Amino acid sequence: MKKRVKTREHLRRRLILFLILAGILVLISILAPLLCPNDPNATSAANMNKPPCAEFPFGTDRYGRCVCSRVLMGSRTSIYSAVALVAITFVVGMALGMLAGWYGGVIDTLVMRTADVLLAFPQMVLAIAVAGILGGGMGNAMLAMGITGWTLYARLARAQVLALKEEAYVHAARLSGCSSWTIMTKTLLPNILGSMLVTAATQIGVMMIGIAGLSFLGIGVTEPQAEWGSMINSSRAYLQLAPWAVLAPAIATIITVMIFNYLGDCIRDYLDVEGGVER
Amino acid sequence: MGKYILRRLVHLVFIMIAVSFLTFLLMYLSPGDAAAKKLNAQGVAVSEEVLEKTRESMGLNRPFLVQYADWVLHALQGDLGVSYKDGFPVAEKLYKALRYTAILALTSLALAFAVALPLSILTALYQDTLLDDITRFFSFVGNSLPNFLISVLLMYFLCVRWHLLPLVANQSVKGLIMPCLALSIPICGRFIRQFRAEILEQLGKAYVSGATLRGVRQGYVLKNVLHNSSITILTIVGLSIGTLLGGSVVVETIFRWPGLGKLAMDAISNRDYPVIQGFVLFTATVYVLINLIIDIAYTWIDPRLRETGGGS
Amino acid sequence: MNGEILSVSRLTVGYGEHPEAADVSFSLQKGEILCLVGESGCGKSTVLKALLAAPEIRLFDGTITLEGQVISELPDKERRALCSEKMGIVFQSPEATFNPIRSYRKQFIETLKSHGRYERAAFDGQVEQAFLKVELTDWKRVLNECPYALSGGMNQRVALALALLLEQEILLCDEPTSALDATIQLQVAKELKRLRDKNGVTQIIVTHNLALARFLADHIGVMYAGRLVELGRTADVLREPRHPYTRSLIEAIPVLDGRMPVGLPGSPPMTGPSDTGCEFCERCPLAKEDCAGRDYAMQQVGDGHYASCCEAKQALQGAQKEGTK
Repeated sequence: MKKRVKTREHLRRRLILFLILAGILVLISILAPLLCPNDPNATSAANMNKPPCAEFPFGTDRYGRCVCSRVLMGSRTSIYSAVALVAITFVVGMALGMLAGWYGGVIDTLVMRTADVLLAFPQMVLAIAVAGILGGGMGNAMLAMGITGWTLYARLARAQVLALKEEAYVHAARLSGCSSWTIMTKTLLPNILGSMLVTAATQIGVMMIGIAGLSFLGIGVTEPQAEWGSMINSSRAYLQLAPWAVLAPAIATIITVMIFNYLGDCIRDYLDVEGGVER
Repeated sequence: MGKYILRRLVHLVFIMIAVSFLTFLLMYLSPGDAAAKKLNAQGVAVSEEVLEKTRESMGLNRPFLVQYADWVLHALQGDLGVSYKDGFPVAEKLYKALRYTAILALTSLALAFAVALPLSILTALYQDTLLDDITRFFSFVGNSLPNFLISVLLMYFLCVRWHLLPLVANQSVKGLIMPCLALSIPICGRFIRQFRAEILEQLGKAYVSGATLRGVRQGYVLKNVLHNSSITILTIVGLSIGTLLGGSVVVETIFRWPGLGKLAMDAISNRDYPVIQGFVLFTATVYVLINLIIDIAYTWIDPRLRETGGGS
Repeated sequence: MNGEILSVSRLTVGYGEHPEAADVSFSLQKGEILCLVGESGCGKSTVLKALLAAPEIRLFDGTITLEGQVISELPDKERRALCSEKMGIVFQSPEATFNPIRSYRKQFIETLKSHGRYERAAFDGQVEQAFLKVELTDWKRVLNECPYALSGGMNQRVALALALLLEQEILLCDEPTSALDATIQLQVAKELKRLRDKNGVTQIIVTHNLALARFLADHIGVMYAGRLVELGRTADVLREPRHPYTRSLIEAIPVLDGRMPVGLPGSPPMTGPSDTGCEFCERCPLAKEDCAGRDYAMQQVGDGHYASCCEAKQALQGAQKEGTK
């Protein structure tokens, strides 16, 4: 089909563009403390609910805190926690899935049955219950999302390893005496990495939304730590008075999630792999 | 076919045992002493005596497995304990709230599905047209929006700015609009993306060109494509039920819709653990049952799955 | 040309920018079977799909005449409708013809309705008749089954039955027996023959199996790299092949008497017909220096027998001169 052939180069450029954009976001989150125009936690009775101006680029919230600074610091919380969470669940899930697929038997049954049980719960319901019971805080929120988060990678990795196990070159590697570790790292891993990365990239947005949702409900990252979800929640009562306090973190969330989601799409299109079913 | 259903039911029993075990474990492991929590929830001042008495009456001094077995036995009879806060039976509270969540969830699902299916078919058939590009853009955006965000934005624009809807939801149809939109927009976005991908994949299969060459009308070809796509479509819908149940917690809380989600959130704020426990158990059960029904439906669509046993 | 039902002249077709098959010309009388043989990638399936007016095939040049009407001039939709009405298909795997997970009954009804030939009352009886003609006695069960549940041989026969149901006078088959076990292959081949003998169904069968061609065909067309290199009556082509490629094809057939088949070095090009020169000259044992530059042309080397190798014609003329023929 003529469209495909023409746009391989186009796909590559798109991928690089979004890698750069995502990189910029990560950079912003790292450099946030340096970029803040004001102290994100400094309250001020005099400056409550001020509209955007020179001193406060995004205005202030009901406590007089600079919304812009809080959005920047919030990027740290939101992006960092999501990326870290995805990284952890990615590694753990992929490892478990590969082991389950390669060795089969008890390991397979154990891993897969655990995943089945965890997946019997709707993901957010379990996350809310866990976070609600353990109390707030970023660690608990990440744990709550991570409990079911790894299963996606495990299932995908296992399915792919099962399929690859039957390939001739894997048989050849086995027969020539390669250890299981070697086969898994040198042969299997590079082949499954493509679709795994697509899943991971899409999951960043999912995790971000999940943690923001928990924070919004008050059982994730709690005040006074800056987090976009909790910012939206704390400012929504003053929606009429100071909409910027809600809109700024809202737009930041939307843009960030969209960039990471689109990045996932770009990776998938470029590598021409399936991303699996999104949760 | 009967054997397959039997196998799935046995599997169901195991899953439910594990689910109930995990749910009970969750509560058991929660920080703090259960008796203290109960008394705190009622606003009763705690002394050692009262604490010990409450512990006895709650059976907290028995071994873990005994407590678990006791709880399960009661649960099977429909008794999920009583609320820490007001003493009402948890099962009753769940039952009352269920109706509202069911209405909200089913309406949102129906709306999302009704919009997504025709759009995904059209954009799959007319790939790379303007309609396709616009739809894909909006479905991408919709999929990227958290439901709490949509809720707040809807509130802002529809209530505060344009005064189209009342801020406080009464339990009428008007009150259903915003929570329904908040839930269905992200799901609709996801549906469109995933349905479209599946339909495109089916359209590329050999039997489609075979049918065209046999002179079969477009309408019938589409019918065949939809039939073969429906397994994946059902899977996606099944997964979305989980999203709906989870999303209802946020959306019902924001719009004060008196469903299960709001019940759970209030229970979390009040540290009303039996209610939280009942909520988790109940939603998990519903989710598992729905997925079981879908699994069985698979074998009706693709008879090849009857032998192998479908699923992953 | 009285009984001529289908003919193509200088047909040049392909999928995208470049043609996969070029300058294909042949003519079929009613009730004849033509086998197009050749190795993978020679363009024979493309020709078949072009005849069926498949949407992905582009008609670069040439004409197709069906029952006296030049259909290659017609707008695509009309041509497709006409072709699907008159010509039935049997493909290598049943999945390429039918939806594997829906019952034949439903698919038959859909096809019949699309052709405007469905009558609810008469349906069962018509199906029974058609199935019996292809020796499917258990017609009720087969009709209610899905393709995946039936064996390869049965699926192929169901496809033939559908062609009978639709009263299609021409049958186009692409490797109809290649996916079947040896003994079943013979059964299906016999069905095809019977369809011609009893029902007068004209057939074009694409295959790489020369034995099938010998069993079934009235005419054989040998294709190489997108071009017809030899065309003639079966007996003529197989007994006295005039093109070096045909000769090597025949020599390469394994025989059970211990003789080693003789292969040909190299492999057929995957790029389709080129503009000038004989595609075969790189591997041809008879190749001369100017073979690479000569234009393609089918030369008559016998009664109804054509080959594109000039050496063949010269050799023939030479032999004639010496009085051997």
